[in-house]
Amino acid sequence: MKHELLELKNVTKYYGRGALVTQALSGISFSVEKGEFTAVMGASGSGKSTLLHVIAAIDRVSGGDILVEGKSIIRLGEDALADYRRDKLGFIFQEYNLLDTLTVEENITLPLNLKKVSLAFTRDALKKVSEGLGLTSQLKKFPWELSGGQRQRAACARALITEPSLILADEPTGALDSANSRNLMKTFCQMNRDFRATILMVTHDAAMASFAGRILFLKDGKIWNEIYRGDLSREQFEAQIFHVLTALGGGTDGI
Amino acid sequence: MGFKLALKNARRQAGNYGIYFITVTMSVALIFAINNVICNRQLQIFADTVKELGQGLDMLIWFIALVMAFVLGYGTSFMLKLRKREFGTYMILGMKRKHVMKIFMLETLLLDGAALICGILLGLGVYQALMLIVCSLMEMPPMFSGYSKRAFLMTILMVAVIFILASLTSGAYLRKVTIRELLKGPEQKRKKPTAHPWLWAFLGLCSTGAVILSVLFFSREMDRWTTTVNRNASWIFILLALFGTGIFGFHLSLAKCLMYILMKNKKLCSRGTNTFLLRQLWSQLGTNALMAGLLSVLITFAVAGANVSFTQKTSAQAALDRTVPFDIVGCLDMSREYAYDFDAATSMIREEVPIKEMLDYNVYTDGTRPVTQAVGFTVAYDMSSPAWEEYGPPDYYISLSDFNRFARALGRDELPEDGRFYLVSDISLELELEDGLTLEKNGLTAEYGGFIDSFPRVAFVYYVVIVPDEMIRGMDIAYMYRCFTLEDGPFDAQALSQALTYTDENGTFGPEERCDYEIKDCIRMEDNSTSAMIVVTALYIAMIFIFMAMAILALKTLAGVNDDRRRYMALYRIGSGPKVLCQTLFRQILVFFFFPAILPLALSLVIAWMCEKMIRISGFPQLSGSLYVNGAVIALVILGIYVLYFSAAWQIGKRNVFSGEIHIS
Repeated sequence: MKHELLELKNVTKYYGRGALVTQALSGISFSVEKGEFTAVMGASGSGKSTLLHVIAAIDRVSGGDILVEGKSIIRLGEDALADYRRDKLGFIFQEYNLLDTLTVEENITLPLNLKKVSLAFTRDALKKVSEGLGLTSQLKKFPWELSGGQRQRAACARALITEPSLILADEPTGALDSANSRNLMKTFCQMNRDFRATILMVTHDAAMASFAGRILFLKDGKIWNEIYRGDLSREQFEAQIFHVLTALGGGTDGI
Repeated sequence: MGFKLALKNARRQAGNYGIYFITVTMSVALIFAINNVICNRQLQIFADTVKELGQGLDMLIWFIALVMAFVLGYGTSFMLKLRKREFGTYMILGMKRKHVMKIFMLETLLLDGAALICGILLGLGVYQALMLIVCSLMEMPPMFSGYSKRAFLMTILMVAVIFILASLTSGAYLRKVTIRELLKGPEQKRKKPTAHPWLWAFLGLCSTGAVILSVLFFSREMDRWTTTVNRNASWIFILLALFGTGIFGFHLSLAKCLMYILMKNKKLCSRGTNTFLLRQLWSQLGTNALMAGLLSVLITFAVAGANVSFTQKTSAQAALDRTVPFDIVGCLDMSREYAYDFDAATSMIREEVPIKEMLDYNVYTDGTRPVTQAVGFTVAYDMSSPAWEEYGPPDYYISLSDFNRFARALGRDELPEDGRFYLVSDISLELELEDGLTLEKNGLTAEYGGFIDSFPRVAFVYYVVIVPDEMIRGMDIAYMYRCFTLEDGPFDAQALSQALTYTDENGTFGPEERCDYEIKDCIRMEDNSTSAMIVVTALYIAMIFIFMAMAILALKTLAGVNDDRRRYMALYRIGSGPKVLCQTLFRQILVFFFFPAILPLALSLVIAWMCEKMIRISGFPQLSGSLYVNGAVIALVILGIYVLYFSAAWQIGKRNVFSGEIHIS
């Protein structure tokens, strides 16, 4: 039986007014099941980040509907949207978005503080997530005392600590070198496996996308293709991604 | 091209530069107003007669110019900091440094030009308000004060000089700075929040101790004043220094450790955005701890200055009524020659103004000093000195009947004819005399009856001994007094004083101007001008201190707005609602803004208590109640102005931080 966590129905998003209107998303529909690790790929301007922003309710949709756990989020007020982001989502950004004035521990526990959960629960959750992601020795440090990979792991811990329904990752390896990028993806797989985290990750890197179980390809604001890893090895899946990307990048003029 | 771009930039950035514009406008208004006061002809005539007034105003203008130069210089560097990335982009695009400098200077010139016009318009009103206060303090009728062309030109010149200095500093920076620094900011070594917070906490406790000690010592020294006539005021400055240092240290330490201590409370931190807020404040206050300490001292002294000046004004009339209890008091020293005896002076006074009543009495001495020795005024007179026997002042006496006539004329209680002797003084003293002390004169013995302090001045000596009339017999007259009560009506007190003044060739230090008649109106005018100078100077300096504090706080708040925007955006993305973010930013700016001001404002009541003590010790307990009201009003007025500036900083800060993704309804 399928457990659809996220469902987008014919979502459109326009920017600008009058003659300067740009269509960023053009009738996108897809769904993500609980425990899925999905990647979104596409060229610059294809609508990847916009898609993530509308799911996170940072941007409002122009049309269509977005359902999270069966409930529409598009008509929620600002406060309810904040609660939605706080309770249902976990965010991981390219630039980490860790607060430089807070220690790693404070950064990680901040979402729980916002939820006003008990101190004991916060302590337990912190222990679980920091041990799980190998951050125990870094907790008292400030973000600027960590390496890029450690910072991104701290961001992952922050996204995980509330046990969100959905983790949104926007180019999470964009600021990392290849070794750290691979390590981060292993962390994502671990989060997906050990914490049953549902992940929706935007990336333009085929190697990173190959860690996901499913990939959505966006072009001109539409879903152009969709592939599943199935029983393929990561290398085989990566090769398949390259194949799709080649087709995605090619035009009809034969150049 | 440069001018057009600068004009466009200045218009586009108008919102961001709001605080800078208000700061320059207020600075110009204050400079213009005080320049007009200095150039005011009537005041200049007055200043010629009262030298201190002119000197005080000259010092004030230089002080204001210095403060303004600092504030405007800081404001200009703030603007530069806010626009660094934009200037870096211009240079990346190929614009030459001199063109970037030209654009920045043109923008500053446009803003400063507009602020100059607005400031002068505002200054027109500030000047009239200032003159109304001066007129009221000097008991002159309120009038419209004309504006001075010289003041106008002086203001433009001063602003131009300050602008050129600030521009040169910014220009020097732009000439040296690299494009990378402009685009990314200088390589800053990130520092952990304050090291050794418990050490700072200890320093904070010591500073609190210093403040409390200085207040307690002040109180004790005040009490000691009531038991001594030799009132050395040097300790006041030592205690003021201790008080100021304590206030500075307290704020410096608190800025460094308060948030650390609060963060020890895990329960507090686990609630909402508290950790974030405390960390923000820790970082902000920690970085600006020195500034917070300095501002708190400035605000404290602004509050103290305002309180003391009002106290001085409140007690001035009562003090004058005590030292010169009649309209004119003539005193002829029998040991010296004098130009105008009482008859001659009476005729001269009558020519100016009708006399209602006259009271004559004498003060006697027999050259001995039994009462002084019994009282033991060792602090007043060094009785251990060998010169004491030869040069120490003798006791001075007044007959009981003369004293009672004097008291009756002033509506005071008379002393009974009980054969005892009393001491009377115009200063406030607590004398401890042995019981059963007696005084023998002319074969008569009188027991000590008591000490009357804070009484209208009977003679120009520390105290006078009131004895039964029979004891006066055989004594020499030391001073003759004639007190005049005049009919109501105006007269030229200064002209009369001039007429009664003569040159004494045998003065203590050679020939000297001398007048044996104290004319109350004349002294009141001098006192009023002194009061006006003290009150206006104190209030003006207080206003400048407060204004400077607010401008710096507002600019500091807005200077960190870019970092704040980034942090609040991250908070928003992880699920903080706009309302919570708004509240958090409000609390952050509120605490940062009011941190250096809360204690100084609260101290207004402590300072009022000190003033009350001073007034009480000076012998005017009836005036003490109004001082607490003054203290509260001063604190409220400063708070009101503070809230206005805070509101402006908050609105601009909110608009900047919550632009973009975050939608604040």
